[in-house]
Amino acid sequence: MSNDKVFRLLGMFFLALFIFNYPILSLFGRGEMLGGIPVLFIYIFISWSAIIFFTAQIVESKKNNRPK
Amino acid sequence: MDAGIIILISVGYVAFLFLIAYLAENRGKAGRSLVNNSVIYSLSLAVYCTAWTYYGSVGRAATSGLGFLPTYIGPAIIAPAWWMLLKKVIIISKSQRITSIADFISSRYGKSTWLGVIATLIAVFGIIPYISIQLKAISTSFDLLVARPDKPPLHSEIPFYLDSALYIAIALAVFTILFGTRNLDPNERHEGLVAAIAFESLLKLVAFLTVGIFVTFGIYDGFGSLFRQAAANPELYRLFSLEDAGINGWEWFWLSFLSMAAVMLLPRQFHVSVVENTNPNHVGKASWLFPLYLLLINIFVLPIAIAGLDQFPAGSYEPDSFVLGLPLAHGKEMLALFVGLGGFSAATSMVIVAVIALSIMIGNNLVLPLVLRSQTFHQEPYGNLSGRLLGIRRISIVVVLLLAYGYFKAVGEQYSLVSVGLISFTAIAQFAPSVLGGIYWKRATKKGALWGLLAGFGIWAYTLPLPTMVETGVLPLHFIEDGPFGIELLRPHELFGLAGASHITQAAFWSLLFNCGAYFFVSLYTSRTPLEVSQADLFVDIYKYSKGGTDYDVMRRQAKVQDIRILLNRFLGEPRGNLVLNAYENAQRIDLSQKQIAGADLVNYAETHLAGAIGAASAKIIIGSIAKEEPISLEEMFKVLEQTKEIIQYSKALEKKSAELERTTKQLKEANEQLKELDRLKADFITTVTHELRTPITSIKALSRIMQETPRLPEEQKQEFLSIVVSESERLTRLINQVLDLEKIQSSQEWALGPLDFAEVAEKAFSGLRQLMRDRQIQHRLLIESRPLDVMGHDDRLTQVVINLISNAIKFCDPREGIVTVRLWQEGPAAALEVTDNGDGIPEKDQKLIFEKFTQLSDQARGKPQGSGLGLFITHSIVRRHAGNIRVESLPGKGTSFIVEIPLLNGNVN
Repeated sequence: MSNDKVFRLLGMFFLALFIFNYPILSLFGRGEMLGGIPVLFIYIFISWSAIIFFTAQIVESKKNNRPK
Repeated sequence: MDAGIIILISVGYVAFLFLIAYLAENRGKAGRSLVNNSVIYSLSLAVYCTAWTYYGSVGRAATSGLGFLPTYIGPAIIAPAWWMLLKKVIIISKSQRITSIADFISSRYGKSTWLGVIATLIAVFGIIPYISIQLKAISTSFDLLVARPDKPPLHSEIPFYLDSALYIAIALAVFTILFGTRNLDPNERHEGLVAAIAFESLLKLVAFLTVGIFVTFGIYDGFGSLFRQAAANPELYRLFSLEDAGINGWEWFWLSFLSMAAVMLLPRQFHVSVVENTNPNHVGKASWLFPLYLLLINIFVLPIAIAGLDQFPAGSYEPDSFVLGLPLAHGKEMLALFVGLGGFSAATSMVIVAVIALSIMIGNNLVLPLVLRSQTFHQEPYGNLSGRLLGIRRISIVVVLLLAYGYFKAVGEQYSLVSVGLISFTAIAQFAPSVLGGIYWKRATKKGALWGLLAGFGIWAYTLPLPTMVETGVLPLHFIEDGPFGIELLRPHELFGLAGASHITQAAFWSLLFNCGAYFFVSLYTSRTPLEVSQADLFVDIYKYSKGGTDYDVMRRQAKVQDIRILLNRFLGEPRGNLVLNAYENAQRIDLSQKQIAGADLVNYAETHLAGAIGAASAKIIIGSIAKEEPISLEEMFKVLEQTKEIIQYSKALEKKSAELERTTKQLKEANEQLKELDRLKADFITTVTHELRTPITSIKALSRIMQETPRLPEEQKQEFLSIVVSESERLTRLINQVLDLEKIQSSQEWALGPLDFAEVAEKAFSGLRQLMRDRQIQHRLLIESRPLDVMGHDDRLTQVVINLISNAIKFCDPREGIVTVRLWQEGPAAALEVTDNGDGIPEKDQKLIFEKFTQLSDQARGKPQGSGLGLFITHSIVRRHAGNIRVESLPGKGTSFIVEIPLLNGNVN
């Protein structure tokens, strides 16, 4: 098990912990709309997708498992 | 729609699930496992999404907007950390053959039966409300599809034998029994079940996305148009902001925290993610595929909720039913049927897996330990238990489902799906400290885990399920409003006065606070049994052990091979039991039929395999019934102790030796220094002695030569020379005698000491010198103040002391009017002798030196000193040999006193 991978994933965990909690959420939770869609709705689903995308990058990457 | 059609479709769907399970199991047996696949694994994790997600989320979103999301955000947050957390739990569980969350906790804390029982009870009571909402969802959707939506029938008002929910519960029980208890697998792996669950996950996702797309793009023109329309209505616009929907940071945090715990610790989640796991590395893909699944199934929740609120007049439709109500209201019956099937699959997958997981726990951790401890088991130990075990599980499946039905009938109907589900989440979160601490903190003890669980569960029961009893009339309303016995601090919804938080949040906060506190502090103040220590080691350092196997056994046990064979056959069934033993024979390359007694190795092997079938705690008890009860035999324990003791003793001895060596070295060094000093002294001594000897010899030689070479030397002169020669010869003799004396005093080890009167000795010596003093016209006095002064002493030596001192006094007293006084008296316990003269005295700086060898005080006035310089040194040595002491008191110009003290004989001390 590569240590780098573990730390990157831990980093994703803490990142998610912060962006999906107050006070950051409160910045988007005031009911504004963007293109007819609530900003909070957009923020949550976009950042959620980002977390999934980066987690997938870390998990699936083969070459980054070991530092050269 | 006709009820018959719906039932037929449901049964057909279930039959299809069986087909999937059957095919998957066949492929598994053929070695081409369908479920050994990270995508299937991720899909099976989606058993997390139940009727709560399918129907309840929309209901929740209708009142609190995006406040339904923490339940899915929590798992999304924790998923990246699964690579450490979940993977470690899986590896531990595989190596210990753990079959449930209760088994995990019990096994971690020394395979404790009690912990297994408590954890099972928490799981069962915690999950029953959760199962009840699945029953509610299935029966409600059934009612909706069959009857007209505007007159929803209340289940609590119809007798149970007419209640569709009861028959649904019974059908689910039969379904679960068929699925989960067909045979007893030692690893509790059900490939068919996993395949069916994965299929159900796919179906409910597709169904929900279909209804979401229908609502958003069919009824409305996409997200923008839907949201814009809602924004015009202040009642709906409220849902776009968390604060306006009644959610704050504290609520949000606790809800997401509870779901982080739930997604790993719920019995069914633990079952699919850990027990059914085929490869720990599947966790990697699952840590992003599963959050992706959650994201997809949640995108349309808020749009559907808003659409439902927009379409139906307030109060006419239960928000939990919007998912089904919207297609029905728009006349899309086939779509509604498909959506209903999706909801059915969400509910059934949860019920099947949860109830199987609970039945394994109840069987292995609750019932079996009781059976094994009972008398009848020991009286007829050779029956086939494999069948009985399955019987226990089947009964527990029925019991759990009936309890869930009872809960639904009593209280479930008044509450929304989510609020009941969160009660279960809070119960399950109580496992978090014991499990998380269990895999990272070795010091945690069984008692700590026990008290933590009990404290958390107690507060949970008091603050969440108990108040729901008020609705059923079991408890009076003032119990909630004023607290029990009117104590306001104990109001279950504002415990300890904590107001302003939701019921769930305050219950979660208090229960976890007390849980963690008890777990931590009780652990610190209790000790661990050897088995707890070794299990803690195995769990925390699993990566170390999973590589090399265990290096030590706590249990050194022996059992008859025959007994082990019988036990395995009994609990696993004969074919599987033989398979397990054959695998062992092949791995170890031995033939068990040749052996009578099985060693610790085989006993442990059998125990881990049994643990897979019946749980760690039960396996421990069973193996204990046939193995010689020697949790490390006394002999072995002694051997280990002996070895340890020896090592400790050895190291202590080494330490002592090295200290001794150091001491010896120091002594040697000192001795060496002393020797060097002595050597130096000796050299000095010889130099001085030879010098002293040479002086008289030189003068004798010179004078003799003069007399020899000058025959006509005047007679007078000759006489003078001869007298000098005589006196020098005498001096020479004296010197030689003294050196010999000194040698004698220093070399002789023991003197024959005898009792004698010191006064008599002094008197004798004094009279010997009286003539000399008269000749020199010296006044002399002898004062004996008390007598006898009996001491232990050597007559001649003491005489020598007195003579030496008096001779000194004679030599150094005033040359014209000399006075010498000798005084004797008793000084405490000693006889004292003082010899005083009235000479020039001794300067203070010289007083210390005079007892050294060859110290001669030069005196300008008197010229060359007389004597050898050994007199006082010899005196000092003799006095010391008599255990006495000698000192000098002198004032320059006023004379000198030498005082000698010799201890008196004991009897004479007054």
